[in-house]
Amino acid sequence: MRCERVRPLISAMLDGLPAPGVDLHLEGCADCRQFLADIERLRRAVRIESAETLPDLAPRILARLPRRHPTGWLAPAAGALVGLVIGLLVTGGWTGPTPTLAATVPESVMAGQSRVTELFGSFQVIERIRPGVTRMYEGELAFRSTESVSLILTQASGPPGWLENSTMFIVEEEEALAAGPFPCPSFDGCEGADPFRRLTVGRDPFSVVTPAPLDLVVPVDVFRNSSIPPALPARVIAGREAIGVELIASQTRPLLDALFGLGNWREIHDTDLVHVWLDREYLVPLGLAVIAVQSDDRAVWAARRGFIDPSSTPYLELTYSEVGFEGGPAIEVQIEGGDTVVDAGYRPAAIGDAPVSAAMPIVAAGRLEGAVPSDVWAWSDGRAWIRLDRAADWQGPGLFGNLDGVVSPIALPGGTGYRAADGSAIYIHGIDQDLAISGSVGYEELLELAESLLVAGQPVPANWPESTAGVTEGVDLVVITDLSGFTAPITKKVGDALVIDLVGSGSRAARITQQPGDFLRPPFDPDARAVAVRGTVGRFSPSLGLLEWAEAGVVVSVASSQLSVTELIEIANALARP
Amino acid sequence: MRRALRFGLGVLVGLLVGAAAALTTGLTVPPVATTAGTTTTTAPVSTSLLPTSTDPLSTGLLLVWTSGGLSEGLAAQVASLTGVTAVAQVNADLAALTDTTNSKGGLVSRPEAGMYIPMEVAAVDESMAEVVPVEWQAGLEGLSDGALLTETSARVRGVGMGGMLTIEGVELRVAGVMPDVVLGGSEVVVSVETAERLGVATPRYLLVAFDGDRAQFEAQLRGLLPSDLPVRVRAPGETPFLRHGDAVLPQAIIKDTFGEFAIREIGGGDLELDRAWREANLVTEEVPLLGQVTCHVGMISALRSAMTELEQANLGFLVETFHGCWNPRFIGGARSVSRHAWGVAVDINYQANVTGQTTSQDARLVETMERWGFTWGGNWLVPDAAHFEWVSPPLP
Repeated sequence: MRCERVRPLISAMLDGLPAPGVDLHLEGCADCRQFLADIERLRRAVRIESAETLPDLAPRILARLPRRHPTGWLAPAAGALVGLVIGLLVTGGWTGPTPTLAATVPESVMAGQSRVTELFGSFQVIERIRPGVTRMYEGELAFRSTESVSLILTQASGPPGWLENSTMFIVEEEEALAAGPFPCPSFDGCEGADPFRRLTVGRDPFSVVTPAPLDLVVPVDVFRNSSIPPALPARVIAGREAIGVELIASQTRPLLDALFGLGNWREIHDTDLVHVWLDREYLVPLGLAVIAVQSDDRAVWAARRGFIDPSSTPYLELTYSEVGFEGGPAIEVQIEGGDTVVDAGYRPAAIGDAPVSAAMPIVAAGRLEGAVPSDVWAWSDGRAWIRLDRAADWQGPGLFGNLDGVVSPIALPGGTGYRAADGSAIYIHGIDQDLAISGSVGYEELLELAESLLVAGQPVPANWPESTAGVTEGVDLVVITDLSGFTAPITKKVGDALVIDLVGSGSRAARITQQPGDFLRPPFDPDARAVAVRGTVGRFSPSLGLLEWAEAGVVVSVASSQLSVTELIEIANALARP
Repeated sequence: MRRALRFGLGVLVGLLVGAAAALTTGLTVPPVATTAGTTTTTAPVSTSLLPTSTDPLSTGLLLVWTSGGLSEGLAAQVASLTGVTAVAQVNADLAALTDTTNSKGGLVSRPEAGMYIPMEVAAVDESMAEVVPVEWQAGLEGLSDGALLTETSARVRGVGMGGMLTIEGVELRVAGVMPDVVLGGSEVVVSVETAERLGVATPRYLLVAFDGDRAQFEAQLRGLLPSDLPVRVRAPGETPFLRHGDAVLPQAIIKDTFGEFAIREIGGGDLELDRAWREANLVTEEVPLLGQVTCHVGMISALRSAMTELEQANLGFLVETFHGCWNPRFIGGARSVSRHAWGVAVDINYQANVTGQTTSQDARLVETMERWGFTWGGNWLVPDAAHFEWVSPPLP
């Protein structure tokens, strides 16, 4: 049987239809076996995207339709609209990175992270300080599940006299090697900014101290809680089809920090645009471009740093030239004699009777020594991971494992727990043990593990910052409008102040504070300027990212170093008295 | 159930239509146009001094001040600039208050012999009526036969309308009490004629009623001044009180927060403060990085918190030298009481941050101090980069 006659039958076979003679042909034809593998992979990808679309689109479309006719033509019309979209997707009608496909990126990234078990590739980075002043880099990235990563950036060119900005970060098992120059305000070097090599041994799995740059593999932290990003035109990068989305720099911080976390790079303004192109199949970032957004505040910011960033040219660019997903090079930490060695205190142990996660297999168990020793378990599948920390002698003040994060209480089978605002962690303050469950997966998977532990969680003591005691007293302005891109507001009392925290994707966050008062304090920022907000005159302090105003005996501030003044005013306008 | 069925049928129809459309026409959807958001905002002005105007960005008012007082004739020059509809000049100086009596003649306060209470007295003429909100214009008529107090000042004084103040030996009847924001946070406001008898004559700031382009106005204003003279222009909302030295709290609020003392001038700008205030308000304690420090009891915890935070962040090296907190004296070269006299300001790393010169202060030190409620002198019109002054409790 000829290949061109077999291949329609292969498709039929995958659809569950009879396909006589195909098995025999496949045994002797490598090309058709490859065709089968390709089409299976393609169908998997399409199925993931379309399956994620259904629960997301339908309520959104329905919500936009008038409610006057809840029956009759409405349901079939809405269904037809949803079906139209799905139909186009499933049949490949939208072949490029269309807005609808971009709309599925956040869900697809979260769902697809377990599919990437290996990644290796070469890329180029361009860093522009001002026109004619540019540095270029050659980059190599290798990843192998569960957490072996090698990221090497070698400066290829740059202005003479500048500090060389080549960096290296390699994670393998319980070792991590970081090397590069220290950051300093001047590109031609600072006192004490000599290049360093720091070897961490006893590194705990999925460490927060030496985090592996996993958002370079699949940018989970960028898209967690993300609203639907605008789509960009399709590109082919390193021979692979890439879908593009436009994001704000503050949202892409986890990705940018993973790439530029070491070394002496130019700064990135949080309100700038970042175009990210993701491999359409594996959702690996194959290209990114950081583009300046022109504003008065940004102009001051740039001038003070010596940057000239025309919007016509990205000031940071990354583009892959080669990429592969299996058969990559070995990842190994190469130790040198002069390395500074730091022991992070993790000691692996036999997995034994560890808790069970239904989401993925366990990959590590051990104990983290330190001021408060804790037991650690980790589960992983591809790039996805979950980690459980347990301390037996935690005294606070503050939830074990919660590093200044914003939390809200949740009900668990055994009692009370606390959910990180962005859904990336759950904390339990038990009677004789404290737990922290974190991970790259969705909140529901973390919750599943938390519920299975059956720990009798207690409310935290009233003097811990996470305590919600008295929250409902003295409430003035609360968030009444749905704020796209942010999780539900979390409110607490601090002294006589009411504090509302908003957490978005990436590093996007804002804090609303209300205190009794009739007037603002004097301005800290010499560039502070008046702005119209909520029908009165408020003040925006660019260097502090602070919007303030006085309203009916209450002084209100909205603070965020990641959001623009326009976004801060939008948040202010979403406030009202309950 | 039936609705669900209809929805399901719709999905099926849509699937078929979508698939057919895609397969037969090769439908493609153009990419969404991207827009670069901007944060540019219009220069705001207000018709009202009060930050409650319903139309804050229409036309309005601007504050203009220069360090050390305004140059002669600046008010008239500003009045001639494009878009300016009225200009009020405010003079202000320190004056000595001795007796305070209430409306029934009862003595409220009298410092011990040889001492006086330092008061910030402002003086305005009839042009002030053109730049205050309509509802407060009538209140200014009281200036013809007495003095006006701000609400904060009246609270500190313990007197209201009908009370009497003896300032520089002149008896003044309290003719009215008005909101702080209307009177620029001054302690006492009198007419220019009365002010001459009190020795209050230094022109401090202008209030400019204005209708036009703020940037253009500022450019024109700049042309009226020597090129090396810094000038500050503020609109309502940018600063709580339209007054000179707007980066710090008015003296009335300092007194309201930290108490009022009487002083005796002992030469060289140094002051002796009344014992009762010192005993009730000053403490000497050990503070990380600074050692033994004498400050106001209401401020020292914020200072300790800031220093502790620096120490715990391994940033203690940012504090190289400490030059004191409580220091009862006038501000160098002027008859104006330093905030150091209340013990609510500190000087850090003075040798490398001399007043009026470029700062070498580390941004992390500044950021920490600001977070704990201290404003930094390095941002002032005439920089004083060693100086950190308490202005508010820290934000949560």
